[in-house]
Amino acid sequence: MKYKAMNFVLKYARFLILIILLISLTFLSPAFMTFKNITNVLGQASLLIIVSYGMTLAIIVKGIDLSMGSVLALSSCVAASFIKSGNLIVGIAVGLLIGLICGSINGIVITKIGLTPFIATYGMDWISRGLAYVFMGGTQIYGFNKTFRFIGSGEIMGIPLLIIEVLLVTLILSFVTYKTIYGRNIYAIGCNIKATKLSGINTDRIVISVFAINGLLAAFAGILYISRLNAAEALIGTDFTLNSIAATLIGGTPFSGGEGGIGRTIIGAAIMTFLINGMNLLEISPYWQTATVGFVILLSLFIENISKHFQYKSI
Amino acid sequence: MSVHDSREYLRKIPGIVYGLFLILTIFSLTADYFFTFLNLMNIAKQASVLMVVSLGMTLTILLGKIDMSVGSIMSLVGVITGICLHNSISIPMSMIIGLVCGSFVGIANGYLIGLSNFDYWIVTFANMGIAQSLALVISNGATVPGFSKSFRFMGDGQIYGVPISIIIAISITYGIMYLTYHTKFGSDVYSVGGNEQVARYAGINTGEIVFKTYVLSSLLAGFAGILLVSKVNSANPIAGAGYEFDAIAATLIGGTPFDGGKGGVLGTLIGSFIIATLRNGLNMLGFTPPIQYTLIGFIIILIIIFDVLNEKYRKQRGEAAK
Repeated sequence: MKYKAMNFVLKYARFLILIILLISLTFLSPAFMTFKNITNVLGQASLLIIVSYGMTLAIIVKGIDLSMGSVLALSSCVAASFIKSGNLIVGIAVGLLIGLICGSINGIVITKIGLTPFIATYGMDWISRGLAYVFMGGTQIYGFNKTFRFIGSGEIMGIPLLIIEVLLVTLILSFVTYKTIYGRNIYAIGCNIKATKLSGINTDRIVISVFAINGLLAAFAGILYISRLNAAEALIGTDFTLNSIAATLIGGTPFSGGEGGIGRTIIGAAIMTFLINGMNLLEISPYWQTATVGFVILLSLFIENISKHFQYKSI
Repeated sequence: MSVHDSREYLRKIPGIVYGLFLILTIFSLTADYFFTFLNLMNIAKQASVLMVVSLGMTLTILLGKIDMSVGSIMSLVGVITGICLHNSISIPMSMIIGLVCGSFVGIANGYLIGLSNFDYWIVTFANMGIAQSLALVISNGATVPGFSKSFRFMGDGQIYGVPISIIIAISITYGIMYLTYHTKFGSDVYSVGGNEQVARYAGINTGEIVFKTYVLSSLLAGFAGILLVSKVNSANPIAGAGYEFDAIAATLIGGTPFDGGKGGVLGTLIGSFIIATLRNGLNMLGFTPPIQYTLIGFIIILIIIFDVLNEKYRKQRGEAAK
């Protein structure tokens, strides 16, 4: 009975963290629970949610993608140069394509060559960040036209377009992961890649596709990001990688793979965004942010460990 | 490590040395002023910093694990030592304070990985973020510039034209070599890396070995951070970023694969010379820093891919022979 109660608490620990965070921030900072701040936070959260979905998929197949921040920067910089010269559709298409290519390369290096996901994507992180710097040559691109800015900062009947886009991505991804054979295979690979392979599933192809989706999501988030920011430069998106890992893990997708899902990541991303927003409002030095994110990752590892322990005992 | 493995590893060393000479020759022919005494000593100074970090990395890779936090530990220790020196604390005391602060990160790594059985990738990656952040908080994001001549002597000074830092780095390498080949701790590291479960059943306290190795790795990284500060005469809070990647590459080039339990520190010494030469040569050829980043990242990942494929091929051949 004691274990059952403990299990219940641990199952909803994430909600608890989010609610405690919200209540304490409301009391600590008067500027927090204002309409303006909340819509601003939701906008920030939606970008993090999109990147974190990719990270969640990678973690479910027992991988990780450290290159998401840099792929986001590279694809959005290239897209920005096209969009600035008037080719809106071409720009977006090229940006997404670059994301897709970077992700696929990650997947191929991981599956066909057998590099650990950590090393393969860390290499991609340096390469694509370097390429972004080479491409931009130290300059910035800013001031896009109205049509493009509408994608990231427009509103339809008072609802930010960004939220509609995130909902769309959520619907597509949750259908794919929960309702299709492909989605179940992703979980199967995370649980036991050898058994999945022996039961006749082409695991390499699925892992490559997961990393390709990652790259695509990073590029999509990058395009929304520059549209919202109205500027593009090579150093954007550096903290997306660590933040999305934290959002995924604190959301309840364990690092050991094969469990969790994108639904949980929404809560994780909300916790991370509110946390960072709260730190900004309380005027804590931004240099503390990375440390906070690191502590959140370690905390979620502890929660994961404890809940595994209690699950084991309650059986 | 059995005698057979040891011989096999030592047989790899000449190949790595030839690789180093090949790179030196290519750069000497293509870049002006590359093959001058001054520049070669400059490479030696760069290599000595990398060598000290890579030794720690080699130990963790020998364990079959990795330490992603070394670069941030370098920044953190460098910044703390720099601030201590500016507050007129004596040089040895400042270094000790810096190293102790850096070793806390290693203790956290070692405790979480060795004693709590957390995944080493994610733990060291999270600690990398935490240490980086602390370095920025402590220095408030600013570079700590200008140190006394006696402190700079360690990283920048020379005796008869030979940099002090390379002498220090090679002596540390020798010390770590002694530690790995002639002490119980060293053989335990190889056993844990070879097969952790078997090592535990054989009565080795594996958690303790992992803990000690991570603390040692953080101390070495911290010392490398101090050497770097002494060499460039300023403590930058992000100076160490990226060193973990170079250290991994230096270790793999040096013939210590990711599998754990195989390889050694002698190759790492030459591996760090290769990486330092690459960086210096690309600089001398006049590539801008962004292109250098991309090229180095690309070269390093190619080297790692080559290493992993090579290891895979050898395993397949070994299985076929059986």
